[in-house]
Amino acid sequence: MKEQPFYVGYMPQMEGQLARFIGRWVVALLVLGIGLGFWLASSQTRLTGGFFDFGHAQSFEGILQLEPQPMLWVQNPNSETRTAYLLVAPFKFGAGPLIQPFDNQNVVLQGSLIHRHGRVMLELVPDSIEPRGGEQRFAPQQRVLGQVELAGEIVDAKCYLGVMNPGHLKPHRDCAVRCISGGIPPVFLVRNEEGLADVLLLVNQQMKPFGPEILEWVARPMRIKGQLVQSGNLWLLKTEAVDFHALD
Amino acid sequence: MSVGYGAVGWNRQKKRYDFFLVLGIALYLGAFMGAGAWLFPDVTAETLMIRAFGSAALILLHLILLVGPAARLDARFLPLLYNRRHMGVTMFLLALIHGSFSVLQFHAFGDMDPLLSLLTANTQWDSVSGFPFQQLGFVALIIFFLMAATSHDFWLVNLTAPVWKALHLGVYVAYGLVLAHVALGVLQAEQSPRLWLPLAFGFVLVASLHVIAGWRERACDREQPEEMGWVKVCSPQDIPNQRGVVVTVSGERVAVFRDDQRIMAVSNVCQHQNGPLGEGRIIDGMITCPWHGYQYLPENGCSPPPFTEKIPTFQVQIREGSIWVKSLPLPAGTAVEPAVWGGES
Repeated sequence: MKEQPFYVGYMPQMEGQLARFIGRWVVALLVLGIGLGFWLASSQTRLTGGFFDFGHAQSFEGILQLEPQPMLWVQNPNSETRTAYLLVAPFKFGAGPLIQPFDNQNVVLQGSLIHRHGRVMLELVPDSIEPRGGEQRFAPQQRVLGQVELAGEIVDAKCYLGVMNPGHLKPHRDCAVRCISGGIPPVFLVRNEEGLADVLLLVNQQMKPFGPEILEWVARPMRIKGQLVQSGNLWLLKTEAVDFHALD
Repeated sequence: MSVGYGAVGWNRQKKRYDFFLVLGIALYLGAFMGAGAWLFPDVTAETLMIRAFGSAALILLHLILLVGPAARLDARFLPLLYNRRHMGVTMFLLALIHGSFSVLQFHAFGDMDPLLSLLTANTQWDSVSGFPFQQLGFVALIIFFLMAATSHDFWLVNLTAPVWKALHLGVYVAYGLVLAHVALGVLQAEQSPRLWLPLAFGFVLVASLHVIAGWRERACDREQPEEMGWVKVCSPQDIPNQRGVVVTVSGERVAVFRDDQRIMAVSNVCQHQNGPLGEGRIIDGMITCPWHGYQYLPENGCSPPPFTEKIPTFQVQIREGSIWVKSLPLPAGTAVEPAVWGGES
């Protein structure tokens, strides 16, 4: 029988042959650890897009609108047109309660920019809204583009547009549920044939935000039938939960 | 071995072991987060940390599960087994960081208590692709916590070795939960074969090493025929000096040792962590367990004073050039006259 070296940890010195065997394995495992770190990190494919200017609030002036979702209509430079900036509160809460007293008022407010592929959102600094008088109401031009049936995924606008990356798909599902439950606007993430993504603001047939009935659908592959509406620079999908169809 | 309890009974081997353990983890985390930040500049630090610590814990869990059967198949891996509980506690801490960041990231600062949200945000139990994977990881983390919290010898003694061992076999349940947590979680989004192939390879490696090690042990579990209450083991020449062989007698594994001309038999099960004493050595006149070096006097199965561990002993005879062991064990710590062999040592 081949005699193998015997060693337990409290002995003073490991026999040379055994020490070399263990040493080679330790080095191999360290190299494997580094290699696996690079390999696994570089194998991720869904970590793109989005920007959140965390901790850096700027001033914005525009007209506040509570429905269909809280937003600030900001005048474009050298133009009569306005661009909608969706609004959210800090953490996983919507901005509705913060802006309700200022609905349809021209205000200056402080917020941190969140944006992705031209879609812009502001994380509102609480108590930073100051009424400025002036124009009291803004009705964006709306175009009804007809009935559509689209495949995609419901995500919360805040995380997807930049606060989290990735802010969609299964690993992010629970967070999206929490955010939408807290009042952050749900959007429908769709991709065209080239893979380019855009988001459609989900509203019900009364152009109001969805309630808790939407939560079970969050972050699942699904199809939605509804009416596509362009409102200023925003795309809205008017629909009801009965027109949601799971693809999983 | 120790007679009192300290937080850690440090020795040179444990310090070196922990140094390389921490070094390996630091290198892995550095490589993962460095490459991740470099390749994906838009990624958030929280996401990188969650993924880096979670994958580090998973890799370490594989290593923990591989060391056992590897040491059964090749005793040269035993030094890696020696301090495995430090690896286990470290793995729990990595998993805890992963879990804590995940709860903070996905469940905190919202309209519901974070733990309640963890348990209720996804209840799609009837779907494979939508299955609530975070709950699986949470249950696994609780098992890892129980194991880490009871990893000290204090708990081993107070829970008794069988209970402690059964509790720590929960690692296999936790491993299954973690595999499901990963497969039904991040791999539902990140579907690159570069990610699921290493996971599948790790599972196959763990499973196959366990099966092979178990298969090898079947030979030692082959029951020896009994004659008038005695069981024939082997010839004394078949046992190298100061080593043992393992034989199954009445369903129990017995370690038969030779120390020069003396032949002695004791239970094969170390009182510490059920280590295989028969694979140990006689050092300084004492049977020494290969796992953690617990020692027993071969004549009576008692640990040397001031230690108090005791194992059952067996009567031994040499008849017609063969070793015979009485099939019934004597109570733990019973002194037995060694059989004396007249052959060359």
